[in-house]
Amino acid sequence: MENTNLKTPADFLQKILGKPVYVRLHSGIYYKGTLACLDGYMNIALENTEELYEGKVTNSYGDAFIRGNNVLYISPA
Amino acid sequence: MLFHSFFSTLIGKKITLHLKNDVSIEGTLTSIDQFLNVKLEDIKVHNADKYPHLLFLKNIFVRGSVIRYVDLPFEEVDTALLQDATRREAQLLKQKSMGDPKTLAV
Amino acid sequence: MSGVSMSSMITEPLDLVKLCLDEQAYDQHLNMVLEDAKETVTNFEDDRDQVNDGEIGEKTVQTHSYKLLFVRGDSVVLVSPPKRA
Repeated sequence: MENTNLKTPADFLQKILGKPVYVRLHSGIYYKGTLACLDGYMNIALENTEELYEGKVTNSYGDAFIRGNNVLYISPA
Repeated sequence: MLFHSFFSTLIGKKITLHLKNDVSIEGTLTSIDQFLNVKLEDIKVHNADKYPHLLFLKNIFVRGSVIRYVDLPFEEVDTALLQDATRREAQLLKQKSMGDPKTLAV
Repeated sequence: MSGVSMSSMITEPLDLVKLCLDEQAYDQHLNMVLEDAKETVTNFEDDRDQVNDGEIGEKTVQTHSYKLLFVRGDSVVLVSPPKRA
């Protein structure tokens, strides 16, 4: 399994930098985009972002900053 | 600290607080602290249907964390000065964050 | 800004906020002061409990304008640059 050399959450985040991801917020909204960067508060910068709610695209943004406290999880798309 | 200094310059001016419970309070700013707790005097309360006791108050202390927006008097604010202060603050933060363990090395 | 790769200028998420809020004031909590702010409030009447057709109810949109507005950072979810014309 390719994940066996992943040791810490930070290693995981490093690995998905620059890759397409889903970010899910506590509100149930998802953001799908390219993970440009993030910091220790889990503030996130995404590029070419689509906003999805209940499976439908509700908005799109070239660049988007997401305030970390709203983030539930980040997952590779 | 930036917005604390900023609000200090507005003491004595009329502002309107829009709270997270949808109540709005208009009044004269008398005091502000580092948490952006505020004191207002001669207040007028809008949307007080759910909290009618507010209508009898003259002065109020509001905890900063319950504030959503503050409507500001445009004529009383030097926006250019505020932008300068923002740039300085951002630069300072950047220098600090270099050694901050919370910042991921990316 | 177009044509320049964003990642070359952005090393942490707050750099993006700096780009978005050029000419405005903000801090690390995302407290900000916005000029000529427009607020849009969209409400859906939720009667999904009464009517089990899964449809959401009537939509109402309210807008408010503010010449100068302080926004407390803790209610901020997303910050994005204004759409290019």
